[in-house]
Amino acid sequence: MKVKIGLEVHLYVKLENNKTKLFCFCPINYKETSPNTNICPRCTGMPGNKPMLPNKEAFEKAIEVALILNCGIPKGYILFQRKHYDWPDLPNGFQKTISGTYSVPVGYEGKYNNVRISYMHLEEDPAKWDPITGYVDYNRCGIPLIEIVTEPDLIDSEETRTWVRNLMTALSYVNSIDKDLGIKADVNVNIEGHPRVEIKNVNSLANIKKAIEYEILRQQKALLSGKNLVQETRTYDDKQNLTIHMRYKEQAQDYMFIPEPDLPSIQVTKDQLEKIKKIVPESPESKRERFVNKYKLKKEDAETLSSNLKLAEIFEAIIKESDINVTAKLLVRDLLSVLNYDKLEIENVNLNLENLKYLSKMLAENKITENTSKKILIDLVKKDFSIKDYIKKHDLEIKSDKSELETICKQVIKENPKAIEDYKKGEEKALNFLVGMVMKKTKGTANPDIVNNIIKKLL
Amino acid sequence: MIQEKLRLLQTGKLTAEQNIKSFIDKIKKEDKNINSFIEVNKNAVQEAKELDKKKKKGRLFGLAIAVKSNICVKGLLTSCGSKTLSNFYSPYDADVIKKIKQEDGIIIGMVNMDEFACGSTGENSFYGPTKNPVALDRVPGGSSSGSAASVAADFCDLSLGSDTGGSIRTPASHCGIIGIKPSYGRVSRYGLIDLSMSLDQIGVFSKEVYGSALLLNIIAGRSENDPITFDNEVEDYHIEIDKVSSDLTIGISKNFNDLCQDKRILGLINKKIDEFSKKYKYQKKEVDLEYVKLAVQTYYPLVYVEFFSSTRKFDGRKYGFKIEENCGEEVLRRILGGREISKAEHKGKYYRQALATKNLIKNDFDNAFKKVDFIISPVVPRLPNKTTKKITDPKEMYAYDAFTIPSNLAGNCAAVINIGKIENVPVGLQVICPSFKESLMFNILHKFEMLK
Repeated sequence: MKVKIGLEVHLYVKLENNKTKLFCFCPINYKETSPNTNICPRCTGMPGNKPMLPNKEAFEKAIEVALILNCGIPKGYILFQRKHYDWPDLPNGFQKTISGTYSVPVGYEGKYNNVRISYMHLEEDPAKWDPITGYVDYNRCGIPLIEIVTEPDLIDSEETRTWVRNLMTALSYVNSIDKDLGIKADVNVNIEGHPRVEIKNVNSLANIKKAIEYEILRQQKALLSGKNLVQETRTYDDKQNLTIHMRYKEQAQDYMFIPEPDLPSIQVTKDQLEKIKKIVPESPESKRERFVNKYKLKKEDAETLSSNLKLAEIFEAIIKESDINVTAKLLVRDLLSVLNYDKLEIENVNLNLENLKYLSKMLAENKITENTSKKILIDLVKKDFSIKDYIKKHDLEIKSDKSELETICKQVIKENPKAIEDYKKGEEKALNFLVGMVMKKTKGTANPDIVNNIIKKLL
Repeated sequence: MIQEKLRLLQTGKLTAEQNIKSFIDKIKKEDKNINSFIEVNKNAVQEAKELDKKKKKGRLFGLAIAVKSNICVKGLLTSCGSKTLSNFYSPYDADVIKKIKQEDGIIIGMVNMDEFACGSTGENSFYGPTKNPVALDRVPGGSSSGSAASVAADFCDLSLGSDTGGSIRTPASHCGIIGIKPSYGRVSRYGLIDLSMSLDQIGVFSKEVYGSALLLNIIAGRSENDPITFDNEVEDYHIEIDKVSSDLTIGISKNFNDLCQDKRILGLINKKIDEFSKKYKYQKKEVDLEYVKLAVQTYYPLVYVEFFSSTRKFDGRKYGFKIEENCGEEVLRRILGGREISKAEHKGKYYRQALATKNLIKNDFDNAFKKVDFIISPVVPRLPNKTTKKITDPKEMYAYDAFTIPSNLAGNCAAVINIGKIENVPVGLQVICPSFKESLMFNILHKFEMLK
């Protein structure tokens, strides 16, 4: 059963110069301050309050994100809309957003890492509300948020998680978003040919994966037991790891969008656009193409390397001094599988570039075996150390000195009479066993081809 | 008189304390019959005493200013004339209040109004109807009923009101005083509790043109607190008031006159225009304002939708009372109307059509102002109704604002000055000027003042 997944991702804008909320001068550092201290009549929705002009830096960052996502930027006017709903987290009873039925988004029809972007826009964050205590903290209310809405182009939970992770890496790398402030997502999941289910309140990468996995299972199970699926909105409960029904399509909320009368419309000027274009990094798509054309990489390797900004940067830095194919193999096959095994993200691992360069060079010059390199990586992702010293200390350089290897081979032959007998009976496997024993004695540093030849000759 | 009083206050021959005390005494004695104040500022006398100690005196030094109850004054009851906000003591000052305080004006109290500025008569208040001090059996006009009545009754020197469709000009006309609706974007609305955000504007009342000119000069100007305000220079309206302006052309529109139900009002206006044009040798010219006949139909969808949106914050969670469960009939009508019009199923067509017609009306005025310098019209199509005869048909009530609404839709400035009485009830005349031509407007008002 083919699954289709689409996302509505909310990310926090990273502000560097103008660290204030979207429509007032209250600071945005809500995590560092006690509740309800970063507030004013505007972000608490006092009667008579009016918004200030939107934070210009936040708006420009939103355009930056639109460009990174290869979105079109509207040439006409952009107007904030009022999205009405009655909830304790909204002090004015409406949210100011560039989304909505009649709005012109900041960016439209983009594509990022093979997933189509429907549109993206800027809006204000609601307050933080605890439904159990009823407590509302307005510190968060009015902080600029970017919403990115995708087409249903993703097919499973892991792919979705990886896509979002790579998106966050790329956007935070150019300081468009603040990854540390978190992510809020709504996930749309449906089995092809069946109605779409929207899951609300999925607020971490891990939960995105878990919520999708649960939802696919739930839908499959329902279909297998002959039930019909309906279009509905569900909410993700991370404590129980399941999704709970909220409402059906017929009960969908009418947000009664109207253009915000208290704000003038905004137009992105040519100069503004040119200025922002300069900051925008190469997209994964064009990077992939470049990797294939310039470095003659295999398509799959180019795809993997270009989809993650940090990985791509490491790759291009190493190949300035080392072999392209060896480096690609080292990163794509070895490093990623080691990270994967330990459930680590490349962004969170402290990798010393000089170290990796050295490792790649040693491999390219055939001074260490792939086996050795992999063992080093396993330790390296846990804690950074000098590879050079490590290789020296543990005597890990490839031993190609024939006389030295011959001594070890003779010793192994002497110690394993049973294997010799088997080999002479014609069992090829026995040879592999003997080579393996030599490798063990040399801690994997022997050149396996040479060892193979020596043993054959000795026998 | 106000200029003379300011001189006495500035030279210390009259203290701020004396000025404020005399008003407070008068309010205590006489406001029982008028009901113009919802709350008198208990600290006003104390504030005046403090001011009297000051060496450098501001431009409004010691003047008593009454404030419509939808403009936030820190520590005072900003009730909007509604039970919904009957517990709301504002924690902050509106921009206009800050400016008045900086110039040593004293807020004497919060005055009565139609609930949330919804009404044209001054009768729709949780705190009871306001009476017309100059024609006690008639309504004072609304929604800034208390602002007009308090000035007319000499309970204060000047007052602030708000005008969305005529809420300053109608009561100014009925109470026989000056009322000014500035151009949209001239005065910061930060701290003004919304009726219809795309039309609301704070304005002023006074007995003489000079008082309004001075107060507007102080409260006008760009503010970062209200992104809709403009950078246009704030002229010295009060100084330029008797500037000699020759060769002006008066615009008169048949489209307005056709809507005037009481022809006696039209007669009085025409008489005044003749007198005026003769004295100052100004030309008269007919202008075509084809779409003003649609003003009322255009206005209400905008007001309904924006009022619905702006009242969502009165959900009962923060201010104690949920608006729908505590408001009067007219407020509820507008909220429910706005909710209906805003529904997704209508795809925004009513609101957008209203916005489109709003532009037509604006174009009418823009074209007219290419031919004439200002337009004169009646303020209200009829005399204020008797307090015993409440208008109950919303259509009839809404038609009350047919002459005042067009200027809100077009965004230009307009003012009212008294030109006499019919049946012993004051009748005003409306001067409509292009956007940001307030200086010209005060100049013309002053010339009418000199006719008397």
